Amino acid sequence: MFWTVALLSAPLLFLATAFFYPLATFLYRSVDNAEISGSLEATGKAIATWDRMSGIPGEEVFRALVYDLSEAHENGRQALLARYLNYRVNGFRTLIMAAADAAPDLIARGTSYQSNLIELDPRWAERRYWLAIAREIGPVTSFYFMTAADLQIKDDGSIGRKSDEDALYVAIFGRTLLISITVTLLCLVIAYPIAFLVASSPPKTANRMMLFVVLPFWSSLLIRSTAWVILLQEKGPLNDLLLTFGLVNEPVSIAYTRSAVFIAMVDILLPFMTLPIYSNMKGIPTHYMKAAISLGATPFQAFRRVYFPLSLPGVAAGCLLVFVLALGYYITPDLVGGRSDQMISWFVAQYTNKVVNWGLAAALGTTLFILTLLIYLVFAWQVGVSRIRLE
Amino acid sequence: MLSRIWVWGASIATCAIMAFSSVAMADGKVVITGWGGTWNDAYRDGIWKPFAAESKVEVVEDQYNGELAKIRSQIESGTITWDMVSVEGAELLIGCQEGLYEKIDFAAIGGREQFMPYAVDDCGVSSDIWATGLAYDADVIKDPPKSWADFWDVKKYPGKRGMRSTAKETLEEALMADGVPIDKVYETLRSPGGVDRAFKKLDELKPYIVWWESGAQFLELLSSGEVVMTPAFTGETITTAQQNKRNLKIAWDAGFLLGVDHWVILKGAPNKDNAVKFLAYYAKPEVAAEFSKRMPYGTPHPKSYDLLSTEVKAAMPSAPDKKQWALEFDYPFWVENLDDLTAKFQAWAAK
Repeated sequence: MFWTVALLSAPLLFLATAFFYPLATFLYRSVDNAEISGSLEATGKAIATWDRMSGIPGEEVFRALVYDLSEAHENGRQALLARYLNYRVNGFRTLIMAAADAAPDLIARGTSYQSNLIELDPRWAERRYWLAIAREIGPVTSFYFMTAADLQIKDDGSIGRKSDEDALYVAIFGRTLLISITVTLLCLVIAYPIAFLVASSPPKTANRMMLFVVLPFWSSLLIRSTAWVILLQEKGPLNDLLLTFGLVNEPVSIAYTRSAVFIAMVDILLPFMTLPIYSNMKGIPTHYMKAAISLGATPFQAFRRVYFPLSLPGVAAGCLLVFVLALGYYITPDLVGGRSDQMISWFVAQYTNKVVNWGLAAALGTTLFILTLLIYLVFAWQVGVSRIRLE
Repeated sequence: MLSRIWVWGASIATCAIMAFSSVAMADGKVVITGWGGTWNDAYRDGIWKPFAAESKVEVVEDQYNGELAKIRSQIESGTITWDMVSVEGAELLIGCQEGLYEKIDFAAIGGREQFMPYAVDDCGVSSDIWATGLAYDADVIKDPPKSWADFWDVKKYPGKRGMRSTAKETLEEALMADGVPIDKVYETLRSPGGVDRAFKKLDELKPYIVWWESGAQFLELLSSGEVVMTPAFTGETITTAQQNKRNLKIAWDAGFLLGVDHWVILKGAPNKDNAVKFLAYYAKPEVAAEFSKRMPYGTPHPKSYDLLSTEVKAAMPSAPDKKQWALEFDYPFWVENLDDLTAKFQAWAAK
């Protein structure tokens, strides 16, 4: 009995540890502020008394900061603190590093931490640094989600949109949706006739045709993306062909543009559209069409009023599959597109691997996750989950 | 049954080979990470192999594109797989502050004074003195470009341009194209409105730019004719041109960016002693020169320059005759502004 339960719950346990736990820690990353709050505990307590309305904090806050920095310096945590504060206000890095280096000396000198610190760097007399510390001292922060939504907290405490130059992610989320929708529609237009052809062919021919549909699954996504770059570049085979036949006078640039992203993504995602539609069409009895025609419908009418509605569950499944997969695409646009064709995952990768701003990476990822979930719910509500058939 | 015997046999053989190889390499190994491609080739043939033969320490090599993230995550997670890495100047300063690297024990490698002062730091010894210059294919462009303004001139030189997808390098090049003299570039970037001026200049060229990230990428773009010009790592460009018999040229007189890469030892590196052993071996002028012979980049040793042929000297970015066109990276500027300008650059480039 015990072993049965243990064995049956093992997959659940695996799912919890290998999927939900990492997901939860990742989600938490997007609000976690331990790097700052953990190093500035005394300052956090002291700064609560500052009214923030005018001037800079008093002597006791400066004293608490110097002690915090001295401790951070001992533990080697000052650089991490400096890096995370620098995300909030540019210039914090050098400010904190210099103050942390001088902290033991400042403590030895004793009184008037305020004037001594300002003497070390006059920027300590600027309100914006102190306002940032006062705002970002808590154990959790909304900073990353605000950045992901192109919002910022102004010095007077109000929330406002970023300037057009600094705003970025709302436009990128819009672009991600637009590219995914376009790719889904293109896939549908191409896949439906293919699926229809295969489904209405005799079994032997159909099997051979299916081979061509699933063949792309056997080569890596990376290789197929790179192949498109080679095919589409200015000195590539496609341009050679167009020039030879005199269709164009000078090479057209397709590689590293939005068109290249569409072409490569449609190529890669096409089987995910074809297969669900095909398997759905296989289940539609052929005599339905014959019956409709025998009752006086033209072949087109029979298709439109009988066959097409019956194939919709497959279409819905294919669209959902392609759309959700397309939302998270990263490597294909990275290889074949330009910098203005990148989707949100590219930025998540950038902040994870290059910039090491995991908070922002997590916030962007979480936003995409929620967005995907919402779209799925709307889709399921409109189409009905029971009608989506994947098998 | 037969197949089962096979599996057993294979496993025993594998174990035997592993046991044997660990005996053969009794002096251990050192994992060294460089910039990949021709850069690693030059280090492997010139220095790593002779070092392994002399010291009996196995050199395991890896490569990366200079992401500090890859070093940080090793230190923070405590699973350190690299012992030594070649890092850029800004990453050297940031990582040294953050305590990602061991301090260099100069007594163990023959003293700090033997090196050129700007090529050593508390945490590093220069692995190469490199440059980013304006590269073009001389078989395609007959009238060589002479300035960054020429690089921006799409009427005179029709076609696309490659550019490295980083704020660092790109902003400097934009200001040079806008007519800022080489010695005033960082002064302008530091002054109010200087960064905006650089972005405004970049706006002009934006539709023509193909962005790249690694050395292999820009060489592919330039060789395939997808771009007519690109800022390029000069050593990789010259070496590849020689190997593939291509007529790739660097317009040195347009102005180029001179940088210093450093060997650093990661904090808590499992094979730290071997890494120090490697640095001691590397810190000899005749050894360091073996790299320059294969890849025309400078070494931290003033004496190794004299051991090179005239041909190699002419290709070196640190050669005295090129000093007038060289803009040294202002690493303190980039340590201070890297996060902010990277964010600005990304927002600009993505639109």
